[in-house]
Amino acid sequence: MRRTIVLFSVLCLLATAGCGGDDGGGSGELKPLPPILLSYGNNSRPYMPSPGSVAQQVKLMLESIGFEVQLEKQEWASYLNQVKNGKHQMALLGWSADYPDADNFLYVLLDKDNARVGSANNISFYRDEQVHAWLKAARVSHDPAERVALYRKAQEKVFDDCPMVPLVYTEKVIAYRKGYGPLSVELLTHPILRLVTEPKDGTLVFLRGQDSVRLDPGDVSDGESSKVIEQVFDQLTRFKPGTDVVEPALATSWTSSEDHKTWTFQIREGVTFHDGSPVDGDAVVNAFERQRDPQHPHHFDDGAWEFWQGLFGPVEKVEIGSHPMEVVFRFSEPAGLFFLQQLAQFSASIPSKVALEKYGKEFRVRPVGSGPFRFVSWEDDTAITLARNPDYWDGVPALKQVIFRIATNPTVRSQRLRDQQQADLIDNIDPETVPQLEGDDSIEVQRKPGLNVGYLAMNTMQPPFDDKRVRQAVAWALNKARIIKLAYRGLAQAATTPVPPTVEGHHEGIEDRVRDAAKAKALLREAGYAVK
Amino acid sequence: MFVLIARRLLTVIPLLVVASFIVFLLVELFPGDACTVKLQKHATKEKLAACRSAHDLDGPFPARYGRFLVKAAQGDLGKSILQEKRVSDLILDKLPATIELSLVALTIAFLIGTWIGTRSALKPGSWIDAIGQIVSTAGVSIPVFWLAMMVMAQFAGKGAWFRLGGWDAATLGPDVAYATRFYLFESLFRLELDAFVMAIRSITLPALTLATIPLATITRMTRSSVLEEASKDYVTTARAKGLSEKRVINRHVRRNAMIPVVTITGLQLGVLLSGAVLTESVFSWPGLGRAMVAAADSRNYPVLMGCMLLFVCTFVLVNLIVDLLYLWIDPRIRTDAA
Repeated sequence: MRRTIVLFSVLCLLATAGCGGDDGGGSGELKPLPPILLSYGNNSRPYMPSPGSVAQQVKLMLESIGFEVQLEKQEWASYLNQVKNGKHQMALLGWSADYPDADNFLYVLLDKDNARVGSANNISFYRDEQVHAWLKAARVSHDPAERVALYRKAQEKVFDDCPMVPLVYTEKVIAYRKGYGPLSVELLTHPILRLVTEPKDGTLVFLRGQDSVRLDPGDVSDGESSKVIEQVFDQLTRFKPGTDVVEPALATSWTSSEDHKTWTFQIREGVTFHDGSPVDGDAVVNAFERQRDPQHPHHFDDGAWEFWQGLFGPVEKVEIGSHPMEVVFRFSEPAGLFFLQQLAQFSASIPSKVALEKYGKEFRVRPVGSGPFRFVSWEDDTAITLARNPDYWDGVPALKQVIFRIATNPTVRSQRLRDQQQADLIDNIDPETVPQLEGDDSIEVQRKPGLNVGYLAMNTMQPPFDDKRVRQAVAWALNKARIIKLAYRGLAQAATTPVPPTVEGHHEGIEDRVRDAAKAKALLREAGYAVK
Repeated sequence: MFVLIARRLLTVIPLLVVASFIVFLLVELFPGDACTVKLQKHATKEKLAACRSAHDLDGPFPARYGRFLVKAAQGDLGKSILQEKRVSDLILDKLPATIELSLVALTIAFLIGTWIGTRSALKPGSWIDAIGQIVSTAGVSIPVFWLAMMVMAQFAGKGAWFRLGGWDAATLGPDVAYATRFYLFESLFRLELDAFVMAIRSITLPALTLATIPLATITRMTRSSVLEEASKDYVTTARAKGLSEKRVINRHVRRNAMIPVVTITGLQLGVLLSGAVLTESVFSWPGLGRAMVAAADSRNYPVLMGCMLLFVCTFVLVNLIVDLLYLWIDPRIRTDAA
């Protein structure tokens, strides 16, 4: 009998506790706010050059509405591991696009398909069914207007549900010596060196932060490798300079079938690789099949082949069409419009099949493409030298030679550019040194909004962030302008949605939450928390 | 004598085993892993697992250490995780630049250090003595990476004679093609003056910076050694014989005083290697120290362990050589040990 009473009272207690979160608040039984752990990685990234100062600002702002926030700084790899497994409460992260489409932001960061514990990119673990349905429909639609409409709806819902607070879109900055150029910040690629006309027959030294990993375009993912690969190789399509619009490159024209499951490309006639072998359908098929098919002789077994699945996963087969200069892509599901943009990025480069056969794995350190510059030498961790391709199909480049050199410290890179010490062009610039560079007469600085977003993710699988009102309160507490001023030296724009304005489908109509502590506190009270 | 040398050599083996264990353990305790760094945002569970097993990062610790030790003993340090290269090849590529930098730095430190040291010992309290005091205090206390930044800002501005950014065949001249990577030595050996001058322009600033580390020790050692030697009876005898002061100092005092200084200079080589890690990083010097920092950054464990082991071995080797030299020079140690 006594036992039953105890059990009954325990059940009552549990029931009241369970209701507390949902009953709308104001009833007088307010819980204290739980302490929050805000995690961040120790690495400087393009979307967050100094994560520590961002974390510090967020902490101060959240504390002002009553949260008790602890910061947890982690080594980058363990940090990624932690957030991908959903073991965080609140985390600072960001995303740089692989291709310029809203899909690459919304589907990757907020679809339930990408919220699998262990390999999540959606580290808020936001699993809204409606958003999922819209994003899925937009992925396969070929009607640009319909896609924009779907993405707008998704962004509105995401803004209201607030699983993450988009903080900033950062700028890409490059600086170079006067007398070199024209050079400009490209949305998706690194500066295009074939367009440089001055100095005629000169050498350009590109001073950067790290060495390339390897120069096999199909099997590498880091920016320092793609920076070189883009100069040595051509792709079927390419971006018009300064835009995300696709134009013909090694493919002169293309058509797609009614159901968008078969795409046919005509390959440009008369183009040769740097080793003299011709660019034909066979080489193009080889470029893609070696990435797709693990049994392919050029699919080196110790490779990582990171890009294929994410970009070209639905490709079932690539084969020669009705004549040797025609290539056909067959898909398991209708390919999205962004397929043409995916073909323009470096991992879709066309390598010489003859060279792959000749060098095998060694191709990674002696790449052969058909691009504006041909590979000459690679002195490990020191310099990569390229020379112009005198037979380039789109005009011979003016630069005779390009040398990629390394200085790890960003301040040293800026200093060397100013001192003309083996540096004509630099990127990944230390924001602190930008004013100095801009004030120097012998240097040209270019800035453009990049294709990235830095955000604050809240783990919606755990309290208190399983409650939408708490998440909205967090958003109301943040002052993005202040974060940009203090942690980005002004080199960023406040973000309203996960999709940056440089991408088609960005919703410019969303009115952002601008810091309002009273509103934030009211939401917390409504959610049942005691706030002073 | 041979028994002694053999015994001394044998003690090196357990030392190296313990050192290798510590190196392996340190790297093991290092947070993060190379595969996550390599795969970046495209890392999935399956790809990570495959990468880890390919580089022997996922077994139990003792078993992996065992395999590492057996292979390392055979000179096989494994393969770099990021580059398609054997660690031993990578080290051999990087070693020449570090050796040349260290030797030039050591030479600079030895010449300047002994000069200042002798002068200040002969004229205690003079201005040169004051400089000696300042140099040795500053050399010990100024962090080398800060000094490197200052040196760069001061001496490598626009149009400066000194060059920054390390060297390679391409920076030395359009036609330079050397078999070794000892650019300074080889250009001198081949009497290719243009390349040699370029090499000097490239190496001077980093070498000067690095030289401040041993400079302090050498200066102090010279000063005290010369002072001690100059107060000995034979010096008084020499003076009494009527020898000129110059002759007394150069022929008698300096020669004898240099013995401990030379020993200390040799031992500084080990210290220089650790200084090279910082100096090379700031000056983009293409040597082993920078390779080690890069490897630590990218969690490239095989390369990191290889570099650390090499540093340990160099240190042990230098000490061993000094010990053996002592045995040879000083018969008293021989009898003591026997």
